[in-house]
Amino acid sequence: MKLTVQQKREIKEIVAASAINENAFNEMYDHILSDLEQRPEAVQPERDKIQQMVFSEFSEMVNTDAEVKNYHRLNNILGLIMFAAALCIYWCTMEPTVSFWDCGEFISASWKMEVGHQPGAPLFLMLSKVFGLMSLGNAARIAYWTNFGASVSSAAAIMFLFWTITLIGRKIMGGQKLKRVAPAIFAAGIIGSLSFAVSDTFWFSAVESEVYALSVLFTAVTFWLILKWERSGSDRYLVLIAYLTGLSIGVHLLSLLTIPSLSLVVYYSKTKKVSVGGILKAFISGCILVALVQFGIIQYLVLAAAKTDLLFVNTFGLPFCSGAVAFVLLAGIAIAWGIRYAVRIRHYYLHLGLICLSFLLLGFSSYFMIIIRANAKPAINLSNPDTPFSLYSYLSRSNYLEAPLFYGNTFDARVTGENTGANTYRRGEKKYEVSGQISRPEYDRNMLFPRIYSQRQGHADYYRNWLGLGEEESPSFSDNIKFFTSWQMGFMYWRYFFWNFAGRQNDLQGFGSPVEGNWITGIKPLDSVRLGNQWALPPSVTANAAYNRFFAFPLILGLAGLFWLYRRDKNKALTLLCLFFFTGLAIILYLNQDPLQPRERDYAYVGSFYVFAIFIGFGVLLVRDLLVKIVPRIPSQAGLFGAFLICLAAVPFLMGSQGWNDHDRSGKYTARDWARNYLNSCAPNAILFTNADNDTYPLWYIQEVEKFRTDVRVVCIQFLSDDSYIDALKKQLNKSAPLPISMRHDQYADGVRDYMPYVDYKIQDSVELKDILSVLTSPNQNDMVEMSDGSYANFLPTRKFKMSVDKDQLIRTHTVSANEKASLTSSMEWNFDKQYATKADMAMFDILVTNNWKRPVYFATSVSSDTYLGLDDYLYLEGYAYRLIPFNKAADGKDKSQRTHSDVMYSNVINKFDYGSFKQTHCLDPESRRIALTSWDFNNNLVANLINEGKPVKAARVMKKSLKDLPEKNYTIQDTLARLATIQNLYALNQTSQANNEAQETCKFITGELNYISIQPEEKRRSFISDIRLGLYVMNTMSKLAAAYSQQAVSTGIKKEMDSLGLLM
Amino acid sequence: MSTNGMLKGSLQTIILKLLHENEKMYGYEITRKVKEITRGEISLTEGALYPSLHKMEAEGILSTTTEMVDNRVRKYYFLTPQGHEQVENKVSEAKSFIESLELLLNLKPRIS
Repeated sequence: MKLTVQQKREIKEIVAASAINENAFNEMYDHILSDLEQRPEAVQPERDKIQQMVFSEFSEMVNTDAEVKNYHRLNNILGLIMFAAALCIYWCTMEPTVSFWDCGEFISASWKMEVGHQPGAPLFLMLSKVFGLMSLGNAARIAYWTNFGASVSSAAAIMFLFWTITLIGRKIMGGQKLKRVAPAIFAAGIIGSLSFAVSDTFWFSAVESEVYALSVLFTAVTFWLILKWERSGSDRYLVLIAYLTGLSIGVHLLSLLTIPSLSLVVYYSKTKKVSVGGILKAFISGCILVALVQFGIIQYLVLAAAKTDLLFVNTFGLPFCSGAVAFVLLAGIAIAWGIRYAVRIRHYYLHLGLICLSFLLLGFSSYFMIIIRANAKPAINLSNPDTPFSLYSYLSRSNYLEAPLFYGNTFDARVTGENTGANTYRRGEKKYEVSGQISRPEYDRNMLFPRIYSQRQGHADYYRNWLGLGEEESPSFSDNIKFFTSWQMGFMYWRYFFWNFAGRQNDLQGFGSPVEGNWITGIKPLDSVRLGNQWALPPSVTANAAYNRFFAFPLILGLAGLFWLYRRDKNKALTLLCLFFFTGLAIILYLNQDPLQPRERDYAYVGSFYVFAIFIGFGVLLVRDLLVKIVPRIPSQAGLFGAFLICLAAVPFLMGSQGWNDHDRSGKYTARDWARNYLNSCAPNAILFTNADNDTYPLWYIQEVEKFRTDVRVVCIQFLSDDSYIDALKKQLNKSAPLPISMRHDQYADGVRDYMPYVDYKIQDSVELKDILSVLTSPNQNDMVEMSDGSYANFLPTRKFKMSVDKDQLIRTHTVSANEKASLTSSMEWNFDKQYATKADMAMFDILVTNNWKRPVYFATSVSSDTYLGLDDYLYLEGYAYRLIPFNKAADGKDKSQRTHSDVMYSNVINKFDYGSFKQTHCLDPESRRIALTSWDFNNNLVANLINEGKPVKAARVMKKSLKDLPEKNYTIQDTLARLATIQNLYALNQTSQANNEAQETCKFITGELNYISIQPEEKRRSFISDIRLGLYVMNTMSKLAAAYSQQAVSTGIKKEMDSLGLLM
Repeated sequence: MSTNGMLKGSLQTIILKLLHENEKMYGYEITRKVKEITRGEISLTEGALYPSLHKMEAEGILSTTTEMVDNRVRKYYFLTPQGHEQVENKVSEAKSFIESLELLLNLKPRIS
């Protein structure tokens, strides 16, 4: 019989739907048609019969419906199991409350829908809020549940990682029967996703409230979706991807970096013949797309709205934001019209593109939260993005120094001029007012691709030291490239990469020393090549919880997987490498980091570690292939099972077991308790000046979320130059009354009094601060100096300040007790030690003057020295904060941290401070350790002062509490300095045996460290010079102390240790 | 005649022999040929034929070429040099087996 075209097509569809590959399809199709053509005319082919025949007779060449269904079911179940397993790990190790760094800010901002730092993360804040609500009104549990949100996001990312690996695996191995290859696909999925689940960097962000967990989830889902698109060919996936991309802007820009790899996937699937030119074109269009979203949509669209608003407000006299609303409406109408037009002319891709654009914008619209909430003026309202203009500068991260990318200055360049650009605007009464110009300095020494540009304090020395440049030597282009490859890429990317997949030395922040924060393998001969002797490692490495040795197994397995993948599917391997590059090294290129970063930055590159975990997954299959080759006559499934077990033990299990102790943050309340103790250092209604991250964010958290001590007003000096921040200080906040600030808004508006130079007017006597303030705020041109650009600015005529003190006022306000009156000075005099005053300084002057001692004034302890306005001589420790008290200046040469307001501090330490969290915590992170050390320093100073003041009982109590609750473990030689004071105090308090013990323990630690240094080769030893000096100093002092308290045995013991070291040194 | 069970062991031999005589054949053609020669007594099932062909192809005994026929791809199988070597072995193996089988099944005891 002759078959009709229609019949043939039907048969083709049936066969194609289940054939495992093209060969199988051709053979079956030919067979069935040949068979039918041989049959008599009368027999009509039936759909069901053909389907049945395909499934039964050709079962080896097809995946039956049941088999496919089974595969999908198993795939889904295993994905969910990965989710559950990861969530289990994260839930067990999750921090139960606020963590250090930005977490306190994020938790507060999410709980109260406030505005965090640039460029904002509105979607993250909103989702965190949803998780926070699970606390069901228990304020102490809000942080717990927002952290749980990060754990859920991370676990979900693990699930999508599993599905991503199985999708890729299925594509590569799809030519065989699914039933047969499914175990291999799933083995790859399990190993890859579990390895990533317990990898250092990802684990870190999974157990605290940071944006990186959710950001990785967006990356994971987006990449998975493009693979789904590839498999199904349905363009709806592209629309969903556009929507998710828009949403991800509201989490972190990192997720945009998937776009170039998406563009490669599209290219590979659409092109008939892959060529290098084509790949390049696809790659470049992907990059352009990233730039379009990052600049075109995120920034210029908002800038266009701002310009429209300027037109509406200033020219048409309409209210603020009217222009922006009109712009949004117009843009909406334009897109709608465009879509209709595309339909009319039947242009598919224009239509698809516009739909994608509108969904992307819909996702991006989460930023309305920022502008709406900024207008509500919440307690945390950083940069106050309440108009389209301020939102634009917020989105373009104007507060951060911009690193030059293509052409720029070197670190030793001199400024030759200034380049002024576009106007900046502030919101006036009814109109926008020009607040200034964006200006950029011009330099005399520039180069292409500048990598050593930073002129911040200490950076030039660091560059010179790293590059081996002399004092006056100018860096060449090759130095520039050397810094790029060795420091920016080597130290600030590959080091982190190897932490995750080879091993990590310890959690000390690395700056280049061979014993701080390096990557290691744990294979000693290998590590010793880079890091020197590894056989007698010091306790600062071996006793550190983050001393994690993976023996590079994950790295090797990942490379094996990449090799396996590349041999089978070059295109997929290339796509993944593209994603790996963009989420890793491309960020390094873009950030152009300067040295001496405040913390380790591994979290930014977690996306590339994610990609590497995909490779690790496929590594299993290379191990299987090797096993099958090596072990004679092993059945292939047994080989797979063996490979799976080997990889499971050597990679995820090893990583998890090594990493568990340093990632286990369960029971860690150090950040929360520190915030409580900090606020409890302050008397009621205090004003507390702080500066930046770790001093401020935990305090925000404890006040905003847990409503603890909201009577204290925390003033973060970092934000005090922002007019809107000063506005907020002038308002009631929770239980804290408005701050005493006399300036009107127009006196400190944006662009006004940002910078007031010191001009020496040769004034002999100190000038009252209130007079300084009136000069600074004076509107008269007589009180101003002419600046180089012709404008007039207020200035500082002197740097010798004073404040006359009304002693009775101090007693009335309980600043001091009546019996301290005699110690008060009648005039507080000091030198302001900066070359200029900023708006923040002016605001602080105003607060000091206007407050007139009514509210107690405190300064944070761990902030830079210019924070104190030069008032150091009048600062007294009352716990974790210095209180400003106008006592007579003591001529004892003591540092402010050694001066305690002893009775008050004693009462705070004994009655108000809770140090319990230190001992409950399984693993103290570097920040907690820093606080523990500070606590020891302060308490030792208090004990010493109490002894001097003749209060030994109080001193002994403080010592007892400290010894009971504060950890004493030494992590570095630096830490032993704190022990020195402890030992001295213990001897002074007649607790001799305890003192001896401490001295011997400390001696043991230092000896361990110095012994290690002594076996280093001469040239390496030089880099330890400060450690050597410090260690010997501490030992020497301990020996002398012991001798002074007649502990000859201890003293000579330490001396002996020193001598034996001395011989080696 | 139910031949499936008995065919299993000699399927390869049959295919090899047919290909030896016909230079190249496609799957459906092989089933037709077997039917034709045995006058419909033996019919090869697809479920047995193709896995056997693929196995021999993987072992290097057979090789394939494709041709476009009537707008579809047709896959032809032919013997490789290695395959040619094996044919005679296989056929003589089969023959001696059949002789033995006959002896066993004839029920004419030789020593009587």
